[in-house]
Amino acid sequence: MVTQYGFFFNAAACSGCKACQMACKDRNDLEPGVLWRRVYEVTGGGWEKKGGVWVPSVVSYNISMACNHCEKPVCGLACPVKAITKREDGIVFVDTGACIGCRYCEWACPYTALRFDARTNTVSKCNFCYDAIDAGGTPSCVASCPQRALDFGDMAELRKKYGDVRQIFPLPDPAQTEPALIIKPHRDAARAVERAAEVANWEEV
Amino acid sequence: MLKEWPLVAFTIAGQMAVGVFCFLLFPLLLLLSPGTSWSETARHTVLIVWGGTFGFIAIAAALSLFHLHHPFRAHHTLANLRSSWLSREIFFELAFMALVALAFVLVWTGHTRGLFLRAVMSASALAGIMFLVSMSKLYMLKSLPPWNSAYTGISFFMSAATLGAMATAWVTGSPPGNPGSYFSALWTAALFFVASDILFAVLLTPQYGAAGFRPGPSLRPPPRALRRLYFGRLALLAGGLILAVLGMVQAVPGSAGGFGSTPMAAAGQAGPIMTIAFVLVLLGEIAGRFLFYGLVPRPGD
Repeated sequence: MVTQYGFFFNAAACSGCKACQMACKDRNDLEPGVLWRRVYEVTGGGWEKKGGVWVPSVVSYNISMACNHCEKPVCGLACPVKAITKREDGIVFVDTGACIGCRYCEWACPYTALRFDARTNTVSKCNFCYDAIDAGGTPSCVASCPQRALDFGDMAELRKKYGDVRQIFPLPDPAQTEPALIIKPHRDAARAVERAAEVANWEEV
Repeated sequence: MLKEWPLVAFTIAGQMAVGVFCFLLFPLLLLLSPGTSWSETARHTVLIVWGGTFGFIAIAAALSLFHLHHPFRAHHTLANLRSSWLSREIFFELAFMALVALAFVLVWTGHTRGLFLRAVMSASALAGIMFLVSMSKLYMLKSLPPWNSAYTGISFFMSAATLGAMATAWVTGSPPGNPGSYFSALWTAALFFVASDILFAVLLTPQYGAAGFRPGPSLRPPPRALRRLYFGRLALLAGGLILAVLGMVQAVPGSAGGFGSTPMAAAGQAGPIMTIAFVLVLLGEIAGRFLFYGLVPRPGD
């Protein structure tokens, strides 16, 4: 039995096509501006002089990010009305019938997974396509990725398959929330800090 | 940032209420021995300020509903006292409001001699301070480095002290014609707090203060165009401070000065200079609170 579902994201394979983002919007019929999965474009660097020659020092990679259904969901701990709960299989839910729309969880989540939905006047977020999972299917983001950069499964299995890296620049310290997320870093991620990389597409995410 | 106006109004009004209580009513009570009988004038003044305190906290409670998108579910907010600082904040706010109301009724009905009033007032002060503590802890989240510093708590307590002392001094007039009296010390205390507030802001404001925290890249959008708000806040506070000092220098015992005409001062009313000083400081605190919320934009907004 699965005790904690999680996502695997291969940053080295992601091309930034945003098919995952759009598949999620399509499946969940999300309003414009509401994104449960987002693709961040991280870029930095420029030119640097090596010897007598100027060479490009650009770093650039993408991060596809949704709710990480954390083992320690700080959004749920912060919610004053206990509207955010965790299933036995680790999936974290927002009960829109109980949410008062105070939006405090938006601040509590370091992954900015919770988004305000003006249709329901509550926060909303990735629900791991739980109905598809319960029926033996696959989350739409995972199914839609043409690069196979996303995978899902039980965290114990994912760790065996992919290792235990849970943080690349500029993600927060995983100790904050124990995210159910495994990452294969892009090679540029190691140089992102020294090359002053930052998210380049705020308007999109 | 401007969308956060209900939270700005809620925190400012709540802090001013706690400040007024802790800077006038509670110390005043401590100065009196349990057997002291109050003069009618003293009782009247205290009741007015007390009513103001209750008014501020009630307004704060009402304004807080405006930031909820389902206000009719607000009665559930005490459901997570075990882990949510937001639940605790609401709990202590309600406790403060109820205790202040109870103490008001005790004074109004003339029950000013018993130890019960002192116990109720002590409990009110404790609830008020816990309200400020939970309000500070609520924002000191690990996920939000700009807020996760001691400056959040310091700035909230400084706002309570500054606005509490200034509002009380303004309401009571506190003319300095009676050196050594409790009321006349209020403006001096207010000036000290405004000056401290400016100093802390210059040193510790995240992003802009000389030693303030500089947030690094994260998955949260960076703040935009807050520099004017930061300097505007400092200018308003400094303007209020200068005017209040001028008002105090002008106000020699028995003269009009910044505290208004002599009869007004005798009746305990602040004059126009002190009124403008109070308004400038209040606007400075409001600007500071918009700056605070602007430091952490909500994604998607």
